Amino acid sequence: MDSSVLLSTDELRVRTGSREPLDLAVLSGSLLVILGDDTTVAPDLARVLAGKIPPASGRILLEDVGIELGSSEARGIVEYVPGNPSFPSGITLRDHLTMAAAAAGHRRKRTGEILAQLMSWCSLEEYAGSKVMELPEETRYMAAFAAACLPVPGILVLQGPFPGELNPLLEDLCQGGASVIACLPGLEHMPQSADRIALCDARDVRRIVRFGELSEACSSLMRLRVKFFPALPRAVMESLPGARHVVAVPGGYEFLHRGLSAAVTNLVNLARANSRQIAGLEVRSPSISELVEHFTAEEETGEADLFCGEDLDI
Amino acid sequence: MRGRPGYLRIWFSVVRCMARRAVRREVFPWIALGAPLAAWLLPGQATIPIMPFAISAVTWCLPAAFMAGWPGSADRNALAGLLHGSRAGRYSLIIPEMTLPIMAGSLPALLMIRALHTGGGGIPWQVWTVIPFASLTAASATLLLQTYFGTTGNLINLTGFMAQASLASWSGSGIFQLLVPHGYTLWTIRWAEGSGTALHGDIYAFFAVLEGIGLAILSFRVLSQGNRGRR
Repeated sequence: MDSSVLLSTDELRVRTGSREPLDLAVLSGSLLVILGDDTTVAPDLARVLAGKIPPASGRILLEDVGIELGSSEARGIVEYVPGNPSFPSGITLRDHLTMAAAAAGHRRKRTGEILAQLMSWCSLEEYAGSKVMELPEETRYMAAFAAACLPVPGILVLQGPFPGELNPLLEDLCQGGASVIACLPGLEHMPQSADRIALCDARDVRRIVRFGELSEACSSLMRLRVKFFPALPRAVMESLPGARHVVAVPGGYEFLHRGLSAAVTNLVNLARANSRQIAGLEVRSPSISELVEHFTAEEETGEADLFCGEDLDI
Repeated sequence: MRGRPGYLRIWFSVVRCMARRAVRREVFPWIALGAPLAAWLLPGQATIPIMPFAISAVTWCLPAAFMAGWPGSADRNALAGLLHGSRAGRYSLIIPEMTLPIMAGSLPALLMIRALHTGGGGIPWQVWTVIPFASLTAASATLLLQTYFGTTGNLINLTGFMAQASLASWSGSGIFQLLVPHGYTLWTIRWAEGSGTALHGDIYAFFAVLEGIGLAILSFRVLSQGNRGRR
């Protein structure tokens, strides 16, 4: 994979109250997830990286040659798909994409062919003649994504959550050398191909972790809620191998466990040994604030490796 | 192979979108027909020729009807979202959205003035000049008043339009006629017909051009900032 830097930030502060400036590098072919809901800095960071709003301070540079975001040279390099895309009323999907193709500079003669390929890739053929504003929300998002792909951007910034059908298309884009920055409100929306995940709180990006690290943290912070029939005494429940922080909740218990499969096996064995049935089992992933707490608690003093230095061979 | 943006295709799409939105709105006939009718009902109007007033109304009201509510509309924001970040740039949106109201006001007015003068005698150049620039002023003034003053701006716009039709003595003063751009077309046509106006036709033409260009520059600035940071 080509590891050239497509986007980098220099002393970037998204909001005026940020504690530390963000120095971030987005590599070619990578998928960066900005994880945080609307109460965090994540949606604003995505808009700042897309050039939709100015940062409180700092610069965003594109490509290795250092084109500044917002300059005329930067036009068409970064495309943005908002969370709730809007379209002119009464316009059909084909007309909308035709206009987007014209804006992107595709020649009229080739537009039909390009749109046919694009709609096929995005599974939008059947909606070509439909009015975009009358389409289901997920299809509208796909339409906005298709329009954003027409200029063939180097970096695509997506404000999520987005439909699951988009994940393989994002992988295709990354394989083609583009970078994708996706702002997502929760772990359940995370695409499999995410490389790095920026964990956000209300003021800052607190930590950037790899997918594997996040996966491991999620596994260790995973909370299970189980209900038995008939009810199981607490002392027996606390004897469950690997269970930590067991608390009683209405109708059952909630606890932490390092591995889901081991936890389920142990629960089944526990229920069988005590002649109980498992009446309910719920797995809860950790919240973003719990993840932030988990990663920052083990952080040593000093600056975080926001560049992920080894990716850059530095 | 990609080349320059297809400006004509974009302009056509923007014009179509703007026109479709305008004619669907309930307020469109009120501005385009209701305002001239209200002005025509002012005392004394029925005693003077209708055509100069009708031409003036077309020149102002049609651009205002197309522009009213457009800059902050969801349709306009959606187009800006698509076009502002593209290679086509924001001017491919602004040019057609200014051109449509101007054409909607000036083309019918020019045809009407042509029809009015079929009986002989040339049409002074001042009239040809004032009509398109008055439409440009109408579109820009509607946009700017609405942007900076909201509903109050719309009321100011309507008051200005009604005032041009007034036959009160104060409306005949030169200062008043220069302060109310809504009436430049009406007064220039009356001057061309020799119906005694406060100022020479050159003055109206000069101010129409001056105000038209000045307000258009301000409008371009407002429209080009439109979409940044809205989402």
